[in-house]
Amino acid sequence: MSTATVSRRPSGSGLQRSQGRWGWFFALPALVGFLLFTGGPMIASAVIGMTNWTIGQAPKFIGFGNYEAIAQDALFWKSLSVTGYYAILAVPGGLVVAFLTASLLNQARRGRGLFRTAFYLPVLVPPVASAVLWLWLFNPDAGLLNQLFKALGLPPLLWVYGESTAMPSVALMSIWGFGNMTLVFLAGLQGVSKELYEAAECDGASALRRMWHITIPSISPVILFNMITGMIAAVQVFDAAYVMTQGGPNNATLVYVFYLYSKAFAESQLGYASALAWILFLVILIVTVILFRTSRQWVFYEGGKR
Amino acid sequence: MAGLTSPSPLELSTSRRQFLRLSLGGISAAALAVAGCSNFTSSSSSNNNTPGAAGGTFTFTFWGTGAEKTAVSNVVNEFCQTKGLTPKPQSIPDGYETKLNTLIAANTPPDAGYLTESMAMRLGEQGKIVSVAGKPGFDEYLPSTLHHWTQDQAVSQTAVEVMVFWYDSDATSKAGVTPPATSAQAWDFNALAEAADKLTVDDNGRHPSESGFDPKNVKVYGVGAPTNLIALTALLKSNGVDLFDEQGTKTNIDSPEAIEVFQAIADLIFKHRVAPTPAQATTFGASTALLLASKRVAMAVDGQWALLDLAQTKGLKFDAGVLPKFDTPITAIVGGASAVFAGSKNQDAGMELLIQMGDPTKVPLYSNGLWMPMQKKYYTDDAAIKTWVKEGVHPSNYRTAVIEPTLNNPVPYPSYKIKNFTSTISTTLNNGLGPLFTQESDIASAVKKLAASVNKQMQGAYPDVIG
Amino acid sequence: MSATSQTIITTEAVAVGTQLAGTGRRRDRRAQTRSAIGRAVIYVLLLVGVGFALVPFFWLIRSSLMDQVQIFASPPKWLPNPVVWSNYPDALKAAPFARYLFNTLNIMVLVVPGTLLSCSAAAFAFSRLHWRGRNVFFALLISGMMLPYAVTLIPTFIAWQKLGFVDTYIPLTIPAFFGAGGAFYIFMLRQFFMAIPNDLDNAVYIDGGSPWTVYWRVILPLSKGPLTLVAVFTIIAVWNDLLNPLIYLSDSNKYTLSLGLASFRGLYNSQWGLLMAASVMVIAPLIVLFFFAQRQIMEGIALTGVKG
Repeated sequence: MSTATVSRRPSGSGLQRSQGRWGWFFALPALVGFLLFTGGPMIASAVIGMTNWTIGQAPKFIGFGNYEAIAQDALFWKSLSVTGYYAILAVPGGLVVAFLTASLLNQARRGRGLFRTAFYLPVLVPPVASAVLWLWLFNPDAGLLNQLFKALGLPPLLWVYGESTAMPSVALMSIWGFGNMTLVFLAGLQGVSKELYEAAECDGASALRRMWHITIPSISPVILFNMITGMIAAVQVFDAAYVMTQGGPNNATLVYVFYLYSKAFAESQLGYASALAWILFLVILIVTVILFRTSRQWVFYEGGKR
Repeated sequence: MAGLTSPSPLELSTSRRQFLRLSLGGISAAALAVAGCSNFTSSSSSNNNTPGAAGGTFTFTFWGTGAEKTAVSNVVNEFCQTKGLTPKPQSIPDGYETKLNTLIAANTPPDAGYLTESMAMRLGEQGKIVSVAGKPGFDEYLPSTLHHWTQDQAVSQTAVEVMVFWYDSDATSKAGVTPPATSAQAWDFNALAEAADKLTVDDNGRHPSESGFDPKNVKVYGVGAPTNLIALTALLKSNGVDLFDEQGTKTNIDSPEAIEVFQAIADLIFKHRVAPTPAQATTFGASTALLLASKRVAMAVDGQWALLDLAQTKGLKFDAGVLPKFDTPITAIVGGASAVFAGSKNQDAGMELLIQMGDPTKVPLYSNGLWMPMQKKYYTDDAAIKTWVKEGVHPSNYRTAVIEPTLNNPVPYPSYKIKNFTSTISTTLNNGLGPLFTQESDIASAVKKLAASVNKQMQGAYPDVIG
Repeated sequence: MSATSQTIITTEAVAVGTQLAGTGRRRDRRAQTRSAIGRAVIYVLLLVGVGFALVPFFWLIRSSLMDQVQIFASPPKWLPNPVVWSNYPDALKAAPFARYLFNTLNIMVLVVPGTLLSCSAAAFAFSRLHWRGRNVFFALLISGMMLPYAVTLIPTFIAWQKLGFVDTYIPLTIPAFFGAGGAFYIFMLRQFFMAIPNDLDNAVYIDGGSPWTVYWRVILPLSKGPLTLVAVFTIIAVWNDLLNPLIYLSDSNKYTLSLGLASFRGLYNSQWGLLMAASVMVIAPLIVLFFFAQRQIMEGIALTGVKG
């Protein structure tokens, strides 16, 4: 048994001070990178968001004028609700499916490599090709999905061609591409100590109990990670709308970033679009903070300095 | 300590193998990086990013791949050589507007290039592109190809495109159908439905007008429903109404005439059952050539540009007809925009280049069916017509069904006149009209709602076509 | 206890989150049958899932071997007949893919090591060290992921243009060495690093080692799995990146694979068969890469779970 220190922090102020210096040393490249390539442009876009810059014209400072106009913009509200709807469908759906798939994969002995690769394949398909593929699958007459429904005796759906079914179809498409989440979950599952399971079995715990009391707490950092990154990605969904639906039918798939993009590059209204971006930023920030704060209740870290 | 392996022994045992692997990787990576050295320097002249210093480079941006890319690049190259400029034709495969907006924002626009219609008009208004109104060579253009953002400043199209009624001539002759070859013979929608009925058969060989017709198993559809916005513009005008009002403040899709048009089209699909829904049409294929070649559809309304594909499709006998009409036969004219940027140091050369690109003897894209010329003489003068209308590419009815309507009764597509059309309004319209043809619905109320949301996006209009 | 635990380990019957009840103890035959059924259930479920994941991909391949008319035949044909192999050489000829491949590799060779180094270093600092401003900086980093790229695109481009590096690979490669675009990876690595127990760190410190030693000799070797994961993600991102090469490159000799692929989608007619064939060719190396990397990823991570 390790006689390692009870406290997690090595003692000695000298070590603490040098830790501080080392911390800066290791973080320096990322810090510089952030300032130059992320922070700088972010500040620039915040400033642009306060102007009425239409590309080709000289920008004029208008303070919060963009934000006032946005509040009146029906499409802004529509895109918010559409994106929220998408996130609610895609994030929990993706998490659950990815987790279950990873659990199953963790069990399989034969052909693990093949299975893992097979599940990851959808992530590798470029958006251009994938949009075409899904348009075929979604086709109300000859598409595979409706053929399948027909075979199962279910009524055909309009999928992306119907206003009410369009967004769920897009969410379905995104869950298909859940390979990244699955992989991260799988990696997390591999790291769970087998001894804990054995001990639990010896004590007679059922599979479900083992999952609830061992697996999920052990990979809780990974769950949090997938939840936050999944949410951030879902709220910024773009490709499906851009390549496949153009926001239709009837704005049913007018996701926020697609609307923003068309404002910025189709209408050349970069000022307005920047303001839109910062509103999204605030929304994501708030949700992330909430997720992080509540995470202290259920996330359990093994090592590291919290 | 049981089970706790300290890291060092773990590392040492594999360290030599690791080291070899790492160094091998590192060397090949370094070799790759060195070989790709040129990728890290921009070619000297493009480092000087002020567009085209005189006698320097000339950048021409465009979209288009395959035949178009080759043809355009050749023209630019040859032209620049005669002027002593270094040509830089750039084919941008995707996100054209994104790239161009970025270049303009950074104050490094190309010397000249394609533009989408709304962007061109807006840039004109901002003084970023050079007006062609009254400039030498451009006075020969058809008036409907010059689009004015003010009374005396205009941008020209890249080429002329119109809507054409393409059909499979084998199928029509077998069914005893003769699509109209001249505007005088244009069908109204009843005649269209009748003709299409003769061409539509289900798997058992029955026509929709016969009892026992199975709409779920249709082998051939008679006609493709003209749901494309450009075609709709023509049909609406044919029924007496423009898509938008003159001031660009509201749309007319909720007018009774417009509703009549939409209903007639929807009837083709749901009542007469001679046309597939747009969703079905997507299954068949994205292009008219495929639709006709696969024998799924016998007649279709599509742009003139489809000719390039049609002519190259083996085993397909096709011909051109005029669009169906309501009151008067009309076709819609459209065609992107090409402009010289105001920041260019080679403006005169740029203007000359644009004229050259409009010359069918210099650019093969006219004779291979992709483009139509802009100068009037190519529609009126026999000898000039022969330079671009080629046997083997252009079908027998081409002159009467395509050239004459373009000259005599075109309506310009509102993408130039209406501010922000290509950037937002057309998307709203397309997304809103699509459902009308996907399933049977109450057209009148649907278009009223759609009109309300479109009207909110209207931002006014430019003078557009003058004379 | 250790003998039975050995048995349990060697029979590999750890059941997690499934309907499996038994654990395959040799003495319990009913449990064994149940575990056999359970295992069959697992494989069936997996195959169904694989079907869902692979069907679109199968569609891609079958379309790549068909001519245009066949692709769009309705009802849809599952198998190409005749098989149009020529789509592949035709696609290769349509654009200089060899050059594009070289270019993409050119970028990758720099981006992958750069990302790995800068991101793992930062993740290390965030997870194993205490320093002033750590939490603030981490929050800033995560917040960088929250602003849509569309609006920082132009300011970034203008900056590079003023520096004179537009139409080179500099904007596409150098930022990787500074962890740019790597907030996701830094976050992920931090989570994994935090799962490694502190005892190992302390052992190094007690022996008088520095954090560098901890980083280089403890954390990195134990993190082969997550690091391979980051490498794979980075490779895929670079391979498929369309927007950045589009914006920064104007010399078509410098174009990457993704730009080459986009060129098949024309405005007037897309060459579908060629597009599909080109897509398959572009994806294939990634599949191979992933197949060989995934074992490294998984087994690398398993090691981190070993405890005393």
